[in-house]
Amino acid sequence: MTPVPPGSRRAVVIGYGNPLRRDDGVGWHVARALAADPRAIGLAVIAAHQLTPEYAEDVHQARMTILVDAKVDGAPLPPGYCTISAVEPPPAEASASAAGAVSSHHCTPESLATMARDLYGSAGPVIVVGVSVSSVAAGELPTPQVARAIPFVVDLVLQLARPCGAASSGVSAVRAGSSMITRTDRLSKRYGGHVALDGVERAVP
Amino acid sequence: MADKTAAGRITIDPVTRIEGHSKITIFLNDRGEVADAQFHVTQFRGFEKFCEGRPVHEMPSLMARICGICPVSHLVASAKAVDGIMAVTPPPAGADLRRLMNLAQLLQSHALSFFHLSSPDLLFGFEADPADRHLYGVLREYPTFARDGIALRRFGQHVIELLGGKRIHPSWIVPGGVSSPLPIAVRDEILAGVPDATERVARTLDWYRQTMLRWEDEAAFSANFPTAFLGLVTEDGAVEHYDGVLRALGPDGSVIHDEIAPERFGDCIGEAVEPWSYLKSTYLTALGYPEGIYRVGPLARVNVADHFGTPRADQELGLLRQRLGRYPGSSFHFHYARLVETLYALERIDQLLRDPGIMATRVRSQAGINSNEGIGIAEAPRGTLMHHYVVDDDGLVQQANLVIATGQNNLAMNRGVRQVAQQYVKADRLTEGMLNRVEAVIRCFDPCLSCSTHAVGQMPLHIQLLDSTGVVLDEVTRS
Repeated sequence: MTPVPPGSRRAVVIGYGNPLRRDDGVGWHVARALAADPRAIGLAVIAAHQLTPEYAEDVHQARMTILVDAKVDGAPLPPGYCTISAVEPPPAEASASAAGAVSSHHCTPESLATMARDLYGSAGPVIVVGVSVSSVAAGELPTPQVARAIPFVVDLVLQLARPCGAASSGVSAVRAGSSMITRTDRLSKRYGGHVALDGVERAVP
Repeated sequence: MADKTAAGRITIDPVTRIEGHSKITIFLNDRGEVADAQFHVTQFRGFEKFCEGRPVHEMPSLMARICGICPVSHLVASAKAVDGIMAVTPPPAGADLRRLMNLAQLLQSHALSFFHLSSPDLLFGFEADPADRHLYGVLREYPTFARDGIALRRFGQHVIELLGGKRIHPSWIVPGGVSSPLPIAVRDEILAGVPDATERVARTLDWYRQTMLRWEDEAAFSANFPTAFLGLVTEDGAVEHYDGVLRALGPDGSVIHDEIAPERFGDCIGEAVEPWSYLKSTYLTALGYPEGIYRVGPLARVNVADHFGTPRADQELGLLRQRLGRYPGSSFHFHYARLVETLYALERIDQLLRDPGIMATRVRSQAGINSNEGIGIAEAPRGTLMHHYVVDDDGLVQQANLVIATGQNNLAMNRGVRQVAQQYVKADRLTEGMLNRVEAVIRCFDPCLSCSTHAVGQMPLHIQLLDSTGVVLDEVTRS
């Protein structure tokens, strides 16, 4: 628990969700897979049920934070598709408006990034990888569509983390406040100069 | 019930910043004065029922799923109950490792209760604008305080994860002991974190002692009344969280029960059911129902024990008793007791880890079904926790009864809500200050309704104020 200077870690990946609610746990499963992946050496990987205030210090200490979560809201996408969004904390003077999203039990990505900045002084970029789901009913295993996507989401996270030591220049293309969508089943070895992997359909504002 | 309903009532539904779902009804008499109050737990889970027929060795893991805050307490009490059914005694290292994880959980749970849930009231005041009086407000206005709370909870969770592989629902505590010995690297990592955590608790205790006069008026009406207290103590009267015997003292320290072996808890404690709540009301049978009202948890442990048994916690206990007397009666002082106990937990974790015996590799005893009944008792963060199982000869659970800390505090919480309502509800309108104080008195007890009812989701707040004819005078709802 010795304090780590900001930026001394390469990247933190927090995969979160409830693994007892089928695809809701995809982030958790991705984190577990990533933790066992030798390509992830150098990354700090956390598998969690929820984002909580206790992770604010991890975010603060990271050069980059990648959050992996089930995507259950927004425009419907086929199961296993990912959206990649850059989190932009509100300006400091507007931080109080984030209060409703901070509780003892869970945080939103925005409130976590805000806490990291306001409580500890700084934070690197925070990226959210949202994996579109098929079912969040009770069950210990993800649906087959989402289970098949997990290795590709792992690859995607590794690509995103490359600028921080795990792989290339992916994250630079994800602008704050913007989102991208990719079909994880079409990830290939051909990575361009940004996170738009082979098979990206479109970028959304 | 009927006359109370006819006389009028106020309902608070849900109560916020506690663990689970509940609502509060305040009954008014025909003069518009508070006559009574009921703390309703509106969720039902039924663990006691649906574990029937399961193999008993599954019970610790099943029971841990009752709660995401204090799963370790359920693991401990359940594993101890199964120890009884297997007629085994865990090896000393296994017992100490269970104890270690239980203390880590106490640390993280107390940090959650004090810093995350209750500190907004203490720092901003009970009448403060709710737009400021919340966790983020604490982060913004009192960043050092907030960092201390987050760091303490994080440390407790980290210790649990280091020991059990997961910070929530670890399955490392098993019947007969624990599933694996303690690696040296884990011991050293935990030990390295203790001084920083201790410094944070000590700093908070200093602040609390210097500031507590500010809350004297609140304390006077925060479930401040004479009741008995119950908790585990060691043979020499020290606070105990894992083993020991039960001791129940009256409000003046008179002994009601002492040296009660855990398996005899049923001789002292009865459970009553009221039609308005899924939460059972537990009482001391020697005093009857509802006169047998008693409290468990940090304040009860401080009151029933003679001492903590660690130097810094004992020094703080002396200061606490100097300020509040030997047997403080206001539930507001749960907060103070919680902080002292957090300091104790850190000292005890340090002691346990510095004992070479904890590194022994024999950490689990093996056996089959040797008894048809088992009882396990441990101190959870919120108070004494009892698991009682009956199994058939094949080890299938026939009956399970869980006596949860929140249930044992139920009568006191009800009376506490009535007391605070009588003090602050003065008109036919509900005010934010009144609302918050009613909730705050419950938060003193740090109830865990997920545990006590065996719910999913968070607690909303709904208060209705009804006149003596049942007409709604005012209503407040929070989501």
